[in-house]
Amino acid sequence: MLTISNLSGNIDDTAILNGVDLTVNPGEIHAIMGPNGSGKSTLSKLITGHPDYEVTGGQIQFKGKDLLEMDPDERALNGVFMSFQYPVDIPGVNNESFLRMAYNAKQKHLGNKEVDPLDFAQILDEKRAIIGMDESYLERSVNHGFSGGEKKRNEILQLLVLDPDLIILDETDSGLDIDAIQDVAKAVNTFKSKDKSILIITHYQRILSYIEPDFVHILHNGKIEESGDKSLALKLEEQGYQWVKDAPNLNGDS
Amino acid sequence: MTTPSWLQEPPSRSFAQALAEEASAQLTKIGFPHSRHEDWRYVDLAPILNHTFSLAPNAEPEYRGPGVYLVNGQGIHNHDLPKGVRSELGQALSQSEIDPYLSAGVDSTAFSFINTQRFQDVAAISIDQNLTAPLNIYLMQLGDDARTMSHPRLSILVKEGVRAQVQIHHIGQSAAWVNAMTDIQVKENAQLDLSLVSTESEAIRTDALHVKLYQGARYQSHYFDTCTPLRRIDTQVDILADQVNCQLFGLGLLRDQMALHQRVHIRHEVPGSESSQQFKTILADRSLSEFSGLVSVFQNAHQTDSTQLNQNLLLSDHARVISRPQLCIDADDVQCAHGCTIGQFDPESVFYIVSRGLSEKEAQALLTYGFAEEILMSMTDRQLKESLEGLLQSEINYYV
Ligand SMILES: Nc1ncnc2c1ncn2[C@@H]1O[C@H](COP(=O)(O)OP(=O)(O)O)[C@@H](O)[C@H]1O
Ligand SMILES: [Mg+2]
Repeated sequence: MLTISNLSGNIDDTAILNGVDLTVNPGEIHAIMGPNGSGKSTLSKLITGHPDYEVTGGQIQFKGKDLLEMDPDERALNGVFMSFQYPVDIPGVNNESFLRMAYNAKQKHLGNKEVDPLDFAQILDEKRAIIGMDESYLERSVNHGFSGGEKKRNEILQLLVLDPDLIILDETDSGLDIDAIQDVAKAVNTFKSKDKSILIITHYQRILSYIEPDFVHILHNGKIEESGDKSLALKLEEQGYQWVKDAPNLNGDS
Repeated sequence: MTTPSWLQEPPSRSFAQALAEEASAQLTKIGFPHSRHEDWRYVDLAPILNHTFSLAPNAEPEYRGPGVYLVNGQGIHNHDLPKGVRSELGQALSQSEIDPYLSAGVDSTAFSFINTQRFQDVAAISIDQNLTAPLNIYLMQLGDDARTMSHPRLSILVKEGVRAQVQIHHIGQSAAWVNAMTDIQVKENAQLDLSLVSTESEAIRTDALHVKLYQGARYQSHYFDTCTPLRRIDTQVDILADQVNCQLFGLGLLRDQMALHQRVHIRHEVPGSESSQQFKTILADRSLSEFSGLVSVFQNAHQTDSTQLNQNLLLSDHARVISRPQLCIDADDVQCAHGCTIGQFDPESVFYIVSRGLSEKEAQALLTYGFAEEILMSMTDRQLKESLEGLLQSEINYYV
């Protein structure tokens, strides 16, 4: 699904990632953990193609194609989806219309017929039930005046509507209470299948007990410093990141 | 600047002469607009001064539906007015009957005094029952493409406790100069939603609105402007009692060399009222937006709550925005906020939208639409709202 090799990237000429390697196969769930500022969001922005983030080396292959050659909208149409750590609000743009436009863009890309507002409302009703979001949020402007938790739910609603192949959750669990985390997990788990992949960026082990990862990676010093199974997340939970920070850097730079 | 010769001798009139004299005296005092006047510094009057405008002959209105029609500033026609609406011709009223409807002008706005000097008739409209549908008023400038001018005069009085919606539409040929003035009074506990729509006519349009709000009055207005080469709107709102709520909204879609000059003065003369202003423009090409908003809070007008916001989406390097939100506060314990924004698309918002599979151009169109829709959203009349949304939708590709 996703093959990242030796990826380096900058923001504003500051090197943030230097040499990330990560392979995510179809059907796999990966978690990326790491201290604040270690570059987790940078990695997700590089995958989704944010124009402020510059790739300075390496490659990203997605379903056999060179992802870095694609514009962000093409990446989305080809099946990449990121739930934003900080979702953006769009005043004046109706949430339901926005969802429908995004849905129809995808349908058009797939060569399917676009749906009219009435048919879309039915599709949306089903999706909304999965994440447990009140209908009133559809009438409002996208994320405008939503609480942190409501914004995250709205991200998940977009995820459900767009049905991507690679799902990146950038700290979707941060700031959510336990009920909301369970709702998010329930929705994300509907994507567990042999041809979808999930990449969970998180600080906390908590969400991983609801969406069980096959692999856990620790991002530090601009690269994946440690990979393991879900017990690695438990170790971080118990011991914090200090041991990662203290560990001798395998690549010699300090 | 001296008054152009074709504006010097006001035609005689059989009624409201004292008011005309008062307006003339005011005009002499402040003088004809000139770029050295602070209020007119950014207004290029050439589209008016480079021509000689003459009065257009009377004409038959183009029927658009029930409502009040003012044609070429002189003929006033009432068609199927809803129950509760009375529209009378000013010249048919006695001095004491017409007086309460009219003021000499707005602040120091020369064009409002010119209107008062020269109007030929007044549509004096009073509303004394709740309206279930909006009352339409058509300001029509009809005729061939001659350089004609008109000074349509309108007065709207909403009686105590009555709720009404009024929509004023500027319509007509494009070589003209239409210099309108509207007096509005919203009496105790009454409510008026007013729309002023200039989306169909390329004429030069100067409007002055003088609004008086009495105790417990609720007033909301929406202005929409497209396609005019020179547009100036002067709004003066006198808040005369407490528990008044006044909300002014404006939206301008500006392109080519269009210039929109929005000037607002809200006078909080007494304690305990609220006002808000939100004026937005979207600018392409070499267009110009000027917003000059003043909120005056008089001595002792405590517990005033006032906000003022001017937001501009600048989509061309050659377009210009001049924004001057101002406050003049003479009381304590007031809450006043004002601000302006001038900017292009927020890159984070664009990225958010494209990351959902829409193209960059679609993202820009959506953000432009949303920017404007924030104003349309607050409209109460669904039909007008939807027709303006349709207009916006069809115009947007020009801007992105
Ligand atoms: N615009 C920017 N310019 C320079 N540095 C930035 C900018 N944005 C983020 N950073 C830095 O990049 C590093 C990685 O940030 P980020 O990827 O958001 O980390 P994480 O998501 O792991 O908390 C941090 O040290 C952060 O301060
Ligand atoms: Mg982050």
